[in-house]
Amino acid sequence: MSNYKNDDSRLQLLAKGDERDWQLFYEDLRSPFRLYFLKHTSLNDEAVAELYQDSMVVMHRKITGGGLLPPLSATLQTYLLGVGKMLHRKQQSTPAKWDDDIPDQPIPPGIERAIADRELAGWLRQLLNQLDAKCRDLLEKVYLREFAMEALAEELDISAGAVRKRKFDCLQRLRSKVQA
Amino acid sequence: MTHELLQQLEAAHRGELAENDRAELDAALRALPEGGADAAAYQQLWAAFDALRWAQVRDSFAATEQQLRTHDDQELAIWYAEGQLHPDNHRAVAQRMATDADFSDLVHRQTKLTDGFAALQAAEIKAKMKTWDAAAAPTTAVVRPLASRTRRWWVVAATMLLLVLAGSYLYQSTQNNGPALAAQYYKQVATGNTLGNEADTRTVWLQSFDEAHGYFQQGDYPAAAAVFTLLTNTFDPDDWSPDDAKYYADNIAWNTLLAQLAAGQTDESWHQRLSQIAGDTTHSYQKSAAQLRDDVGGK
Repeated sequence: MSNYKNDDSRLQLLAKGDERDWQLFYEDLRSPFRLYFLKHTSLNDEAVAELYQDSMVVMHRKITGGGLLPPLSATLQTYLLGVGKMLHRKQQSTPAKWDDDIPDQPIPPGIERAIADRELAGWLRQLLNQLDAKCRDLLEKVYLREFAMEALAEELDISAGAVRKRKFDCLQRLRSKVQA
Repeated sequence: MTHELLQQLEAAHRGELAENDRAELDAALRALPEGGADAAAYQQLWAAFDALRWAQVRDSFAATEQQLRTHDDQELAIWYAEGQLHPDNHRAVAQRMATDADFSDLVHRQTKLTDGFAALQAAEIKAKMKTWDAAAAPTTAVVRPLASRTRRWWVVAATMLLLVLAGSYLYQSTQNNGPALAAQYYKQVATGNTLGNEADTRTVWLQSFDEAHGYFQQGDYPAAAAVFTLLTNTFDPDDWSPDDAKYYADNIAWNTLLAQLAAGQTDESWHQRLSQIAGDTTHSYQKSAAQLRDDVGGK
């Protein structure tokens, strides 16, 4: 039986990826996170805000990707602080002194690079803008918003197989822009 | 590249392809003239989708972040006042105070409030300890009847006022920082000077004076305000030596204001009385009143 029923319920909501739930989650944990890192590290306000956003992205990835499931063995705040500590450790040459028992949280592979790789994201944004609206919309739904083929088939009123074909057509068009 | 091959390549990129299927895929790619370069380009695209996805999530957090900054300085001031910041951040706040007058003012106000809350907490703890003492007192203690009609009148009048004020206090006390501010300015006085006959007017007055301060120290501000008001209305300087008259008159005028502030009873008349004390250089609490007037906005 879980000791963190409220957090378990919240986790289930967050796992659905609704932006409003994530926004509220962000708002709720901002002050404790800010105080924790302004207290334990020499990071300034701006740097703490950056770290908070990075930590939230990691939490988003973990939770929406099914990497964190109820029943929780600690509060979501503890998990978030643990992620922040781990990111801080990787980013800073001077280790901080933590006088608490919040464990570090592992960062999903690739996420750290993906967060940092804003240049790559910008490059893709430019490529997508060169596609026609239909293809761009489809690829965004598949790769950015992770729509299931069946959901897209229903939305477009075509078969899942037809959606798959259209997806690869669009991907090939995108690939051709890389060559150009 | 065919769709089938592309689908396999995507599955391989996600780590979802079995080992022999992976070997077959590699062989198929090698057979294509641009197979290797093509595969690398697609893999770069998928990595870029991954990066873009998280960049968008991060952008949405960054947008939320911008909306939430309005109270950051207030929070920072609280943490600074409470000594919670890392030494580097504590220094950074102090440095900013030196160049940013508004921020400096905010931190000073917050420090006063923090001190006030600490004083209030201490007063509440003391009041609780008194109740523990009372509970631990021997049961043989003599319960003394109220001695005179005068005293009964004080109690009844104070109780009636208390009832009138209690409702508004309950609401207002959650809405303002009055208790913390009042506690910050409040100074304990010597009490227990009631050695005379209880029927004597001065003795009754002094007992009520002690009671008013007792209520204040216990955090019962509406009661303190009520009794201080009664004390003010019934104070006769002719009953006292000039020095005592001055001492008590100033004390009850000032503490009436503090108790009313803590009880959330700061109407126009309250501000007028505060200004009066702040402008009276002979008043014992003139300086404190002037400071308090600044703190509450100098209305």
